[in-house]
Amino acid sequence: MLAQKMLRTLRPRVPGWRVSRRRNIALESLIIPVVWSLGAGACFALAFVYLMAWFKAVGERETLAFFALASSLGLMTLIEMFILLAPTPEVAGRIVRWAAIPVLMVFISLVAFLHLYFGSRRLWLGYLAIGLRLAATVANFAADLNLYHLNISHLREISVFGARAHVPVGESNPWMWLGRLSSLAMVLFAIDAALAGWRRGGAVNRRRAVLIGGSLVAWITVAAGQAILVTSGIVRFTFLFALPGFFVMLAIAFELGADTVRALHVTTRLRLSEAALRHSAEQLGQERSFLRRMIDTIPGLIFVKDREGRYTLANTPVAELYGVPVEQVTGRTDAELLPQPQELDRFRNDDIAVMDSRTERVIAEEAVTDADGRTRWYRTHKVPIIGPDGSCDQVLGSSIDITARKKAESELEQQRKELVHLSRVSMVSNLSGSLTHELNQPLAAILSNAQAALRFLAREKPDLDELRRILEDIVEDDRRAGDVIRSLRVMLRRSEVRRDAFDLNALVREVIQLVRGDLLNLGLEVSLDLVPGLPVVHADRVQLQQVLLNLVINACEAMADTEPHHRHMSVSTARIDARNLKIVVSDRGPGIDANDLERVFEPFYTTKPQGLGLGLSMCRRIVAAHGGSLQASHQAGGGASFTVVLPDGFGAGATAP
Amino acid sequence: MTSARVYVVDDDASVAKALQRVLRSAGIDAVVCASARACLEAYDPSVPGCVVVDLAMPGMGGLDLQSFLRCRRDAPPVVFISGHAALTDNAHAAAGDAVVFLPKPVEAHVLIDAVNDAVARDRAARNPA
Repeated sequence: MLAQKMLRTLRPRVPGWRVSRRRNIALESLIIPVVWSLGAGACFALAFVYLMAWFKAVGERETLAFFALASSLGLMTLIEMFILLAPTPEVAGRIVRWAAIPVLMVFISLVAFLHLYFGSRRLWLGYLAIGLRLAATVANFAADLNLYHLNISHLREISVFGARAHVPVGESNPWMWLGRLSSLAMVLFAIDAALAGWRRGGAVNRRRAVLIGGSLVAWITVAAGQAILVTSGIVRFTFLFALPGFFVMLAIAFELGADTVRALHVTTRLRLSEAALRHSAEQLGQERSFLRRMIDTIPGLIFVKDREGRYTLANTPVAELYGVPVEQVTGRTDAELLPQPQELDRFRNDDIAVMDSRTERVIAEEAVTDADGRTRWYRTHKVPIIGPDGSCDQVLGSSIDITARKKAESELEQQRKELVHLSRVSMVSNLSGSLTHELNQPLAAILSNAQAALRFLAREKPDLDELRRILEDIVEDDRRAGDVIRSLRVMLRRSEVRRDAFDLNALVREVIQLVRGDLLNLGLEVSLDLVPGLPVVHADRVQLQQVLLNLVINACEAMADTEPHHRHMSVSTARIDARNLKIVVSDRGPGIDANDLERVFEPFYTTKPQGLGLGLSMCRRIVAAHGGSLQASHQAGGGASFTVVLPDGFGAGATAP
Repeated sequence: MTSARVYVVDDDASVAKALQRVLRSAGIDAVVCASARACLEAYDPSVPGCVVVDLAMPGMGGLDLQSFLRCRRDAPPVVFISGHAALTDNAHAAAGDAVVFLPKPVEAHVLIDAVNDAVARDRAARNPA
């Protein structure tokens, strides 16, 4: 009706419409060719679109099956149009005969589509439908006329949307039931496939099952039923094969189209992400190789180890340390690479501790024996690597080679030791006047005693008791001279740092004894204020003697310009508290300017023309190495005062200054 | 002839004792004083003799002792002993010519001669002919 209306409205605008090759054809007679051709064309267009879709992007087989279905239906529509327009019963009969081929095509493509689209579980039903239809087709071509008619008596005129058409009427072919049975099997198969689709669940799947399955079932049922009704003449209307089929096609195309569009979209995205993936994989590869180059360029060690101690990453310096190619480090453990049991245990314990505590750890210095058996020193930083699941089974380490620094440090230490020794030697040379006096005294006594003894012996009756006393005194004086020489030798000896337990007061007395010559020359009075019963000190005796001598000599020199009667030095010892002792050396010299109280301890700071200025800085370093301190202060009555504070017993671990 | 007395002044007891022994071996009566102060206390001006003193001593030194003795009547001759050559030269200037400087260690006969000489001078000073 709609088409009729449309054609009528078109008529006035198209004046030539009535003019045709046939004379005076009624406009209504155009309805069937136009509508059916449009339907067929639409089917072919759909088929073409899905063929393209299949080619272009999707490649899914249901798309191809739909292409077959739509094109078969298009063909069927055309044939149906020819049947309706057939001019004679003979022509109609022959066209119906050829209609069997597109019907068979529709069946095959329908089964394929349903199976692929819904995934039916009873595919045999589909095969049954095809088999029966195949049999019906054979029967069709085996018959004189076609599957439906033994003969066609006449053409019955029917009205389709106001247009006249004809359907063939005649005696029915008994083999017609084959076709009906195949339609039945097809309906069952379609129901089964739709149910399979329904069972997949989800709103979309169920809608499709209902829409596509339902419309297909309805279509086949209606088409088959209507065909019976039309051919038997009960209903005077056209077949309901082509046109409803077209709408079913549209419904399927709508659903499939959504799928196809989605699939196309997905495919495009897939392609894009594939490209992006390839790009990022490339980039990742580049970054990896860059990072690899970077960690190999770093002179320090960089490595990752797992809980079993296996290397999962190691840079070139690690490989060089172990003397193996870098690719041989990963997968191996320290035990396989370096056979040093103590080092191994230490590495392992650190690694495990870092992984277990999940806290990083800095190993300030550790020794590693390299492939050549040399010891290298490293400062190592170990960091736990925590996985996405929160577990910690890897440790990342980076080590800086501090071998050169360690070597420089030990050389510096050696140089310091030598400097301390040298300054002691130079101090002894400064002391030479004093030491001469100290040696001279016993030597003088020995000479006089020995000459007196010789003179006594020359007498007739030598006093043997007197001689014995003389000899005893000679022995005593010789010992005294020996002591001076011994302490001189100790001071000159290049001795290693050692700890002795000794009495601080005895040390003070010995030092004063050594400088007595200088004190006498200066006419300098020394007062000793030594608290008795001090605890013994554990220290390097020679070095402390050096400190004390330095302070005493400084005090003497500070008073060189002081009025002779005021030349007075005091040395005192005392206990400060439970742990600390002190020695204070004070003079009556000009004192030290308040600004210079700290500067006097700087190396090369000196007020003496010949001085190197190393004495006090060395003293402070020695005392500090013993865990003590050395301070200068100003005396209330004028003059300077130096205070050495020392821990008694075992204070801080003494090292080389 | 009254016997002379020699004062040996040295803070180093063993040196003083050894010098005393040398003098005694020559039959000279010698007294040991541990310091200049002790010598001033022990000094008997009525007895002739001399003082043998170490130049360098803590507190009052040899030259101080000499100047103190000079303040008295009948100051005795002083024989200085010193281990330091440089100091001796300076002391020479301070002490004047009428003194004797001996190096330390001193040979016995040198000391004995010097002391005998000094005692003889003291006697001469006390009893001018």
